[in-house]
Amino acid sequence: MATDPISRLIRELAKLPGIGEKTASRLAFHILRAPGEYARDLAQSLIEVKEKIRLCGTCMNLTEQDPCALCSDVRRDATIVAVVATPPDLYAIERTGGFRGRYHVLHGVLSPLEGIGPDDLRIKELLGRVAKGELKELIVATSPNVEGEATALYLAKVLRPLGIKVTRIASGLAVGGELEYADGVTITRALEGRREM
Amino acid sequence: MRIHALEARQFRNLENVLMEPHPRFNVLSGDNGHGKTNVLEAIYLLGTLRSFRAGKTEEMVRFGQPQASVRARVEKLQTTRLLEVNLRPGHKHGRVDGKGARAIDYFGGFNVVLFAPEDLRLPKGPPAGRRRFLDRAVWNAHPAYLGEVQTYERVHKSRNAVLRDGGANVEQMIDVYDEQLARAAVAIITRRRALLDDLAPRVRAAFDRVTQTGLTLGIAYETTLDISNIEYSMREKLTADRRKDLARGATSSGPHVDDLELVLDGKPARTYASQGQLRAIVLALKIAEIEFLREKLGDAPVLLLDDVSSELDPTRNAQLFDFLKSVPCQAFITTTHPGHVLLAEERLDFQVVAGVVGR
Ligand SMILES: Nc1ncnc2c1ncn2[C@@H]1O[C@H](COP(=O)(O)OP(=O)(O)OP(=O)(O)O)[C@@H](O)[C@H]1O
Ligand SMILES: [Mg+2]
Ligand SMILES: [Zn+2]
Repeated sequence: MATDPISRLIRELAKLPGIGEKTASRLAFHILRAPGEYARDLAQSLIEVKEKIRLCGTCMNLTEQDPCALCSDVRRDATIVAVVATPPDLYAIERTGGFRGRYHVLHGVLSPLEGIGPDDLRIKELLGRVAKGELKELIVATSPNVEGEATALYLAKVLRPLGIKVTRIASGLAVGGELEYADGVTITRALEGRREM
Repeated sequence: MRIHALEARQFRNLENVLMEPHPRFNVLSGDNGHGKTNVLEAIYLLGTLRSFRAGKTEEMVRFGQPQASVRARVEKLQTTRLLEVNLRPGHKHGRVDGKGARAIDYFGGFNVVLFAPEDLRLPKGPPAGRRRFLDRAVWNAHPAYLGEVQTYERVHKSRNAVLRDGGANVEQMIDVYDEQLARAAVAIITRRRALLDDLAPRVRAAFDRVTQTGLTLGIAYETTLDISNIEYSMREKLTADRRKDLARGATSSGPHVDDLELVLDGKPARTYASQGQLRAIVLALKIAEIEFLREKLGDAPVLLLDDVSSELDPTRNAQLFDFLKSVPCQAFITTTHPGHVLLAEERLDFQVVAGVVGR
């Protein structure tokens, strides 16, 4: 049985998305040959990411301290919140440098085909934030594909009765495109062109 | 449009086929089960990235082989490109001029129209066959239609999943998918109806030419929705059907149940047309589709005729070949009886024996 350390490492690496056997084995040998403390540092950061990172109690983004840096930055407008599907989507918006509001991370999108319903997303937490009455506008910034649109429609449906303005980013991204991979100019334009839902 | 050279490797029973087709008529003859239809399937795959008969990609890979490939040098509107499709179980990959292409970028360079014995069941068969005819014709003319259909299908399946699985806030979830489905339906129905507007006069003329009886053939889009406001009426319908849909676990209305209505002299063809008339209708539909695409694309599609002559009576068969001679197109025609192929000129004959294509 393949229980030697190299095979085990290859097997673990191959579980990562987008990594096949070949790539996994290349990475494994790279780590093995890497100088000095590289392997130890990598192992340490893997453990820390799991031990130290948790969800921010406010925006649900991944963070080391709660509330996170974004939620505790007083220079940011606390009344406007961009609702995103995932942390990478949040960072895609953050990279543009143009958005000065706060965020809410849903950790997914509605997808009945994969059995993901409203209760599987951080929607309750969002409703809780809205109920506090401090927010003026929610910008739904999910990707403009079937699941992202469904999520936006659903949020508008449950949030509007609470009397908050719900807007949707403009469809500047190609239909079916993904926020995470869009360039800064496109994202900025999508945010600026947002419309009330 | 024209195929200059075609290569198929480990595709079905075609181990290694290399053909330089005639710019006009290519007749592939051979006994049953020797690989004639496989050649057409390979060409169809290059134009559509799909098979017209395989359910799974691996069915097209030769038994015992890890992968298959089909390549062709193809000319459209004076531009020649190298198209290539590689198949592995569960994987289908198109390349254009050696570069990998996403499905949506792959299309548009090469159009094919297939005419197979199954098409003769079109008027009387289930509506799905007629929808497929419409959708293929729309898609040949507008590659972007593929994305619109995929969106519709995904929303449709999502709605059905909510209907069946329920879950939290089921009514609001259905509201969401009603709204999304109604929006997606607009694109589908609008495209299909626009196609029918283009097709209808051509169908009528072709049917007249083929039958010469003075009977008129009309075609129309059949839907339970109000086409003057599709989105609104689809939403109304979905709302009205909600209880029923919840009980069925399926969506009762929308473009996925619409139909193509064929009307022969004012009466539904599927009920009243004779055998001969039914064949004439199919011939007229195919002729109209080909003429439409030729005008729309500025270049006639490559035609794939799979053993159609054996299903047509001698008169219709003669009319089919008269039509083919009148269209400046390249065609691939399979047959077990080369004599049925009524073409004397501009014709190259190939023999298909046990997966080998020879002259
Ligand atoms: N994946 C595959 N690998 C090898 N052979 C295959 C594969 N799929 C189908 N075949 C073989 O291909 C043959 C069928 O070829 P095809 O359908 O092209 O025949 P045909 O010449 O059109 O016959 P007919 O005149 O009856 O329509 C059969 O012998 C079948 O066993
Ligand atoms: Mg055949
Ligand atoms: Zn936070």
